[in-house]
Amino acid sequence: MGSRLRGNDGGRMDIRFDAKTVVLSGAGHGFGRAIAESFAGLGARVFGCDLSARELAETAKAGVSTQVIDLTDRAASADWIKRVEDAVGGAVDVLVNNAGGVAGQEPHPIEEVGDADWDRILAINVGAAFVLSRAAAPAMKRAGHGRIVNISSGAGLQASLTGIQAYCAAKHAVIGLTRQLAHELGPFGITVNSVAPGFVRTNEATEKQWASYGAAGQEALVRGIAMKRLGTAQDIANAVIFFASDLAGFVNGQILQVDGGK
Amino acid sequence: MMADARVAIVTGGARGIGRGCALALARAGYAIALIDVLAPEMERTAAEIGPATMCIHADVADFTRAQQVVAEVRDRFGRIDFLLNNAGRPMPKGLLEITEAEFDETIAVNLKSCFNYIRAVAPVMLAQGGGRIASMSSLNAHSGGVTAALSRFAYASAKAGILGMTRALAKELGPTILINAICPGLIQTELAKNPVIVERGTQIARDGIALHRMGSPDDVAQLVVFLATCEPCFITGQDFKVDGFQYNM
Repeated sequence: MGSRLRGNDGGRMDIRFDAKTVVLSGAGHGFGRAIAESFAGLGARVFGCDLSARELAETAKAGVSTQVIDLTDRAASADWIKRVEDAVGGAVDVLVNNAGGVAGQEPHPIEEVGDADWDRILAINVGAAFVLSRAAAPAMKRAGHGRIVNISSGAGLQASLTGIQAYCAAKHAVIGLTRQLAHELGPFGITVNSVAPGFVRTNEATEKQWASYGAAGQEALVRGIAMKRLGTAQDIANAVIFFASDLAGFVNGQILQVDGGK
Repeated sequence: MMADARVAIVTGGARGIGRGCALALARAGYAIALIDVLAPEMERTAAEIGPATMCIHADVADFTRAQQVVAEVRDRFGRIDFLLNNAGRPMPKGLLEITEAEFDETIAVNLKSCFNYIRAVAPVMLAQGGGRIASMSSLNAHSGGVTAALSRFAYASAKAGILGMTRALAKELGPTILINAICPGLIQTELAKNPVIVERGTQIARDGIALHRMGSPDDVAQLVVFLATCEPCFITGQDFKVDGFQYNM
């Protein structure tokens, strides 16, 4: 388990997060679970939230403290951060804003996109990152250090394979939030960076998307990736670990595409 | 040396960022081959690293020499796992002052050098079934340069060329070889101890870098170690700014 960085037999760099507090949204499956398990495996005290208690129960097996939270409930979200800070007696060291997604939606022409659908995707992607960052920042500033890692997407840098306008707009917004917070919080010793994953099959939505490409489309997608494979949740977790670690002390406001090369 | 140790080549490894990267890679367990034209500094850095270190005096702009150097490293260590194209040289002259020879030399030392060494190590890495490459570009490739005393358009051109080379070779050399570029911002090195640069750098750090400090060679070296050792790694064809988040000034 975990994300030791190593070069097979010889080169090795062990990263540890002993005594560090890591807070992670969207911890129930996919990237979130891999990130939670990685941090827990590296010694961190990990707190994860998600919508589904059933999925969180699986993540909790790695020693993660879990909490069911609907991140569109901003009061409950802020209160969760407060309770984590009370529990550990200090600031969150690493906040990973991973929650997001397409909320089960299908692509529609813009003229058919309803307000509620648009608002929901903005709320769960960029709204959640905003509310958790807002809640965690004050204690991080008092502590004089902190790491915020926002999971954006290739859809934050170009048009989305999903075809969902709100998702693409929200992920672009996550990248804007990352850059602005890097600017604002950098002077307090807090770095803010973003991991932009390429297409990774991690959940029902991505399985549906994958199936929609058909065999030829799937082959073309993989052929277009320099590493000739799809990414995995662990690939994404490793990039998050990097940003959260001491290795990235002077890395701030950056967007790292983890897409196997395109 | 250890039979199973991984091996890294660091061009321009005698001092500055290259030295910091060589030391960090050695700490991560790599046997190191330093390539440089600065013999005394290279010997000093090699002594710091320890006995599993090779020093090879070479001008990185020389294509044939790169082939010889890589063959020497492979013969000594048996494999090459990581290449850091770090060697480079600033060019402070502007468009109306620079000569054709100076322009050509700037491109040769900063950009062609990367081609020379990648061309030499790629067959070795492909034959052994894996390898990683990182090339030192510069924030100047994106910004056109804020430290005008050190480098201007010819340097920025070469460094931007590294980004194109990196993106294209990620496709050509994947999935066996991963290749990425690094864009350091203001880094405090021996070169940057010039009082004019220190004063300007301090001002830029105060006004224009979110982390309110210049970087150190070790800040860059940490990223290099990550790129060399991250496993699994799905990162290729990317460029990494290590600049503390510098606004484009």
